[in-house]
Amino acid sequence: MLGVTCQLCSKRPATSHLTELDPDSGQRQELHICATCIQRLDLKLENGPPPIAEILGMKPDDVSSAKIKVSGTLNLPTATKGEDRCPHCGLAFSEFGSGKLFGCAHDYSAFGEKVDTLLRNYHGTSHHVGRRPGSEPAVPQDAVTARRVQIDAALRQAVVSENYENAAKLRDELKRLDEPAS
Amino acid sequence: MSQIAPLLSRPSAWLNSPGTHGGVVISSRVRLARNLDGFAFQRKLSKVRQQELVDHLRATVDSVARLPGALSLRLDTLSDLERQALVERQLISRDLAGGKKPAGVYISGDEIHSLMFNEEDHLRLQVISAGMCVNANLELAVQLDRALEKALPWSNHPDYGYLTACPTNVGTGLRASVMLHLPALVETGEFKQVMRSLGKLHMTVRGLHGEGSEPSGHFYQVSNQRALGHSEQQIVDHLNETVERIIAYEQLAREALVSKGRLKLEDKVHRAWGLLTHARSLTSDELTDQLSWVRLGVSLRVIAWQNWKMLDRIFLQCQPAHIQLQNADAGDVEARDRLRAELVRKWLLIPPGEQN
Repeated sequence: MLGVTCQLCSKRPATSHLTELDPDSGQRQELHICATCIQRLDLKLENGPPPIAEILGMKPDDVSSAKIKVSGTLNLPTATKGEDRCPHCGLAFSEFGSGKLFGCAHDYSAFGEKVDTLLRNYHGTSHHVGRRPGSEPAVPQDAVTARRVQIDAALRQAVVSENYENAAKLRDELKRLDEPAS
Repeated sequence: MSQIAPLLSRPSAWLNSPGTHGGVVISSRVRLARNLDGFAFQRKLSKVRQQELVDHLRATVDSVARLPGALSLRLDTLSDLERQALVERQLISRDLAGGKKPAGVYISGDEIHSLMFNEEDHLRLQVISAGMCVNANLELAVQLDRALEKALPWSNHPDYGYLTACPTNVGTGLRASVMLHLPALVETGEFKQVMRSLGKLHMTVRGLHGEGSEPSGHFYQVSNQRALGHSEQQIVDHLNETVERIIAYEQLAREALVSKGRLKLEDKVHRAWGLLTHARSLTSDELTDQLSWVRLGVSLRVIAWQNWKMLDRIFLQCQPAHIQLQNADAGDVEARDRLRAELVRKWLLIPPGEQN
């Protein structure tokens, strides 16, 4: 790695070399930085470097973004100004994209609807069925939960196939199920 | 002496061929992902806090789990080779082995339980054993989790269940998998079809060493993709049902190989045998590929040699770190490949009756 120029200032020789692997695409990202830039950005590398995307998002005043060159492709998930951050760990939802990892358990509540959509897209639902701390191993699935999961899946299907009439019906049924039994 | 020396020379929990289903099923594994309330996930946790987390988890697991003959290790006290050997024994993930962060692992004496501290999640609880036994593994994992949760408050959410660093694990935090040997499906070209169907069933296929590993020697791990929306038992039932179908399909393909392509099959198996009993240098990949054919030959009885135990021994003991840690003169790749060929020749040619 000798002789690589710092990718932030494009002047000084880089002294630190960060490598990141995107677990989904297998895409490799590298960032080479010099000691001066590390100091200026107050990067605490010894505590485990922040994601590369985050470092690039810091863009200090005297560094023009045009000079930033990153090998490989990189979607810059820099946090847009004023974007909500998790009050506990400071993660912005857009930063989640870089490693597909959340910063803390509170993110799940902090990003509300976005997390819900994410979970529905991946798991087909956003309702947990199964064990909870303190519960017995084989939780008998009650009828309401079973129905909810079923509707959830059907609703997704309806939205995908643009059958909005059916989707509206299913959504109403979901709402009724979520109302506390009186 | 190496801290993991007691492990190295003995058989592994997940290798006990022919296992079940005529050698098609190698092993079953479940893992639960758990995170501790009050600690951020790894990417937002300072190194100091990570060390605190690992110390806390280690101490609690040591006092609660009480598994016979257990080994509790700090990753930073292990050499790269020792870490690699634990990966080869499927006791830690490649991520944990390669990481520079404070981390630890607790391994039961029988190597069936393995608890990783400060992996992607705070705790990864694994139960692995030979044959088709996902149900039993789940029971063991839940049993231990129930004991641990009395001392460790796990992060959870009223809607989403157990919370994990990666949302793909949220809900049950469960990944259940079965490792299969599928030479006939691969060789007849049917495996592509299987892969396509598995995707539709929300199942994932991985290579021998899990996430990110290339398939080699016709060995594949099939696991659930979704962890949320189904109970642990439903996830395992779905996996079992799917795997049973793959096994039946592999057995059909094996029958087809025997009935329609016997000469080609015998040729492949005996060439592999010839290569393994004569080679003077063997890479790890070459060994896995050729051993796969011998394994198929043993399973279908197209060769007279029938020693499953020896197949397992070679499979485990001839991996790079296992060779290097147990042989002083296996320093470079060339020496290692030479030693590997020597061991394989010696072990395959031990006359029946003289085996230990």
